[in-house]
Amino acid sequence: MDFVAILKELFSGVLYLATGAGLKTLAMFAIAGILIYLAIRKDYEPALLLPIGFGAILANLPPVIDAVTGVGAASALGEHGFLTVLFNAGIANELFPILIFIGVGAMIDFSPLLKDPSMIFFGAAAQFGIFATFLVSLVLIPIVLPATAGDESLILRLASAIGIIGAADGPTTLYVANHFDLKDYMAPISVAAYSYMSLVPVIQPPVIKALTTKKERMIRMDYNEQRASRLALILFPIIVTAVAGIIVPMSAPLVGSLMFGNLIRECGVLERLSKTAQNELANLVTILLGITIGGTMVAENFLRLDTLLIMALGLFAFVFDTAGGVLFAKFLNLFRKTKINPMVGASGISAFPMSARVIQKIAKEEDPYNFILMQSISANVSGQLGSIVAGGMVITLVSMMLGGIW
Amino acid sequence: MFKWFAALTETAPVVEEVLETVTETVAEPVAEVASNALVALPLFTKGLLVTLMGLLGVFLVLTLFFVTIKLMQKIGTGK
Repeated sequence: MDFVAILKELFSGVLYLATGAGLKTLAMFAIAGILIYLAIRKDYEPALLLPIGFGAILANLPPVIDAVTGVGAASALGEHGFLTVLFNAGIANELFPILIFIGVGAMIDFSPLLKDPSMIFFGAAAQFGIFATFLVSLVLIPIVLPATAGDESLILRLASAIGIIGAADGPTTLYVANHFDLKDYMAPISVAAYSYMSLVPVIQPPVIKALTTKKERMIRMDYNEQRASRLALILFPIIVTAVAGIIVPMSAPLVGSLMFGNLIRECGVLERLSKTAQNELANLVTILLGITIGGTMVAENFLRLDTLLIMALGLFAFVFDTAGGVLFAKFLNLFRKTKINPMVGASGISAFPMSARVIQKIAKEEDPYNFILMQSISANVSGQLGSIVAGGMVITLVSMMLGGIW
Repeated sequence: MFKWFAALTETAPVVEEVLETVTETVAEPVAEVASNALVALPLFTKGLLVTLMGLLGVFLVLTLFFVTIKLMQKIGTGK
């Protein structure tokens, strides 16, 4: 065999980097590096961004040509590559988001919400951005992506998944995107969702400060120290599952898994399972989910105009979700004698508990003796419920608009 | 009470048959017409419908949760 041919074969990966596709690979390495930098140096949701970044590196390594099919793909991504196996095992069948939600449910304490149930409406108001972005996406997608013009089904489905990014709820975003069979767009949608979740401390404060006055940010709120009854804490997940499952059946898997995790926590007789759900299960699935999502960031699917559009609209959704919660609180204050701190409305998004902590931090900056953390947590947990219900509503309604075929 | 229950079980098949007939002759065709009407709407109108009904639905469900919590609070205090 020709010596040059042998060398070419041995160093095919290096030679690949000098091609056009190879330059895209290098660009993806740079993007992956940014995600890893944000995770390690800036501590922006490292549990998610680091596996995603590393998965992106694995997905963009020079391809190996399959001897049987002749198709080239990074070895981690080929037909039997481990990232493909993980994708089919956990993302394509929507299993990972469900398992994550069991862990999240076991971590959530609904006591603050049960003591002050009026905070639940901020979880609804903060979903405004989802639907506003959905509408804007319907207009922009056919303009920015002319290839989609005329394909109403794709436009509606893509707009749905983009809108849900605003909920700052990664599992729900994945669930909706996968339900609508948007595999080609999974990478930018999931990266946008998880990136913006990790950037809550950066994105929310400017929006809140733009919509509120210093006086409003200094509003103090009373808090009831008494813990909710054990019976209420046990009944709540059961009843919520039944109500949501009856009225919005498409939300049942997510609500059910979240509430199952919560019931394990609150029943008081399954402490081992509760700890396992909060720690081992949540951490294990996070590792696998993160690296699998990173595995979808293949250059051909990611370095496109679609990605920029999805990232921009995702940010729009996030901003308007925050704005929706704040403006709803200000609207309620027009009719209330005891005022609500409008910042609490901003924590009605699903980024639990980060958003609540961000709100408390801003409140403390304005007034060191203002403690609105528990009210913010109430709104934050209701945001978790609101985002799941919103996801179920979007799936149900858009499926109806598509003639019930999804 | 047993007589009442026996009467109820006797009438149940009749009620089931009536409901089946109503479903086949009225509800299903209406549902099909409604579905076709929705599919035929312009894209932005579909979007507006999804937005309005979606937001209403989210508020409705969370209002139900609010009512649930209020009821549980009353149970908890024994009222």
